[in-house]
Amino acid sequence: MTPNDPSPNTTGPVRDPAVDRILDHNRVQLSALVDGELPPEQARFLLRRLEHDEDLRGCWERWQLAGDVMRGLDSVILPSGFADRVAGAVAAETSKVHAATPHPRWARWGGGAALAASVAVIAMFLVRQSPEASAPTATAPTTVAISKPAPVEAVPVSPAPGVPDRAAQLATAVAVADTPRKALARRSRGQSQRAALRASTRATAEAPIAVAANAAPTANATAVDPFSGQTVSLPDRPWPRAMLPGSPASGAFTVDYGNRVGNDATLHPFYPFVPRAGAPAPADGTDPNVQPPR
Amino acid sequence: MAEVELSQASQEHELDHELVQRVQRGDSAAFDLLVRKYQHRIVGLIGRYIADWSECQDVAQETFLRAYRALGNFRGDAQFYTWLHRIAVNTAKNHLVSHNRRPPTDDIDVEDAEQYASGMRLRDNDTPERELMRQQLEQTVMRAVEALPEELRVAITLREVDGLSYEEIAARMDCPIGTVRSRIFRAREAIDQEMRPLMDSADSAKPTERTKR
Repeated sequence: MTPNDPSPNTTGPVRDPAVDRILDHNRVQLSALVDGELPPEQARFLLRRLEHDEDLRGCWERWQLAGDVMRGLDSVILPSGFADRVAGAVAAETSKVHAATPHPRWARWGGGAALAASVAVIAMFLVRQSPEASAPTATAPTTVAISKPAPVEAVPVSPAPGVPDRAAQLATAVAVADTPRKALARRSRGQSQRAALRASTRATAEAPIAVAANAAPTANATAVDPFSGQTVSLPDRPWPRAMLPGSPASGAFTVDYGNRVGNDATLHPFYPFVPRAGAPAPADGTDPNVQPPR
Repeated sequence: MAEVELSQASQEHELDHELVQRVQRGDSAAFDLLVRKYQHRIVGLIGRYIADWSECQDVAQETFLRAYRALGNFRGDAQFYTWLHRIAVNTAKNHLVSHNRRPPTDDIDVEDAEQYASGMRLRDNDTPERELMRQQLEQTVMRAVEALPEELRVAITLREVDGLSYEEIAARMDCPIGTVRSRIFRAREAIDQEMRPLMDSADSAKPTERTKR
């Protein structure tokens, strides 16, 4: 039968013409793939199809052999099961290698390391969200006491023995950080820690302001109005987050949305940014709440 | 002519490179395609060193297994078949040494190995059955090509023998590229029709030949 013979194949099974068209289309694409003329995206699909289509793989094999013979290459016909034998040997080799290969060291320790990292991340978030951990650094009176220490009336409170206060911890951290690298390299870890403790003791003795700042957010504490220079009593700010003890939102200078009742100037929603009662408007148009630079 | 061979080698190299990359990514089905593509050539090469047909197949299988193991280190600098050829020659020589047989002192070059005319000394290893099978295969293919209509024969010859691209063939035959693609496909189908009975008979003949050895 020649390729142009139009006579139908009466001996073979009758197939759907649409199926024949699809099979022909696949073989046309395979022919182009053999020649390296199939576009890459179509080649990807066809290579995937070849994995499951035995007839197509047979075509691939025979067409390659025919091309070799036409080019005069020395080729010998192998039994049809040879490629399957090699595939079986490759599969056995692969499974043997997988079974014999132990898990690498990093894989064994990787699980534990990942668990430790997860715990560390969770702990970091918990500490950062804890109000007690962030209160002293964000509380407004701290800034006030440090910027203008003279009028502070709060008595420095020495920390209870055995309970390290935050200022001391901060000073400890600073002392450790300030230790020269070479000294750190020479000293043992215990020496570094002892040096840090000594530095924290010095810092505690030399920094009553910091201690006073640490004790600031109490119910009836006093502070200096940064705008008027007068000492004012600091009311509690019952903002929802301020209900939590030591919350940074409970600071005396925290701004809320004006849910307070009463006429006290300190209860103004935007306290302490409130105009003084009865103060005449300046003739030059300057803001009475802003103090001139000294 | 050198440019033509270079073009064909380049296209073959690209396809092989794509398949090799797939194997390196863990796709063993791509390796099956490489095996089916080169198995007949590799056995033809090994047959020049080893006469026994059964041993030839075992050594060919060992060659592909070694290639599969080493494929992770194949960087693609050389052509895949050149690399595979080297593995096949070494595997065949190791097989001869392990069986207390003296391997040939001079290796078969990848170019010489593929031509019928060269390497005649090593082809003395061929058995009469294998030589008959080789001649039958060649005659069958050539007869099928000669029986093709003119346009199919020209298209498949320009492609397989001269190594022209589809674009070059279209220019040469003054027809669209789609027509070239169709003609080459139809020519392959016609040749395949003639080859199938021979391959089936080769399948049934191999066990009897194996028992002779």
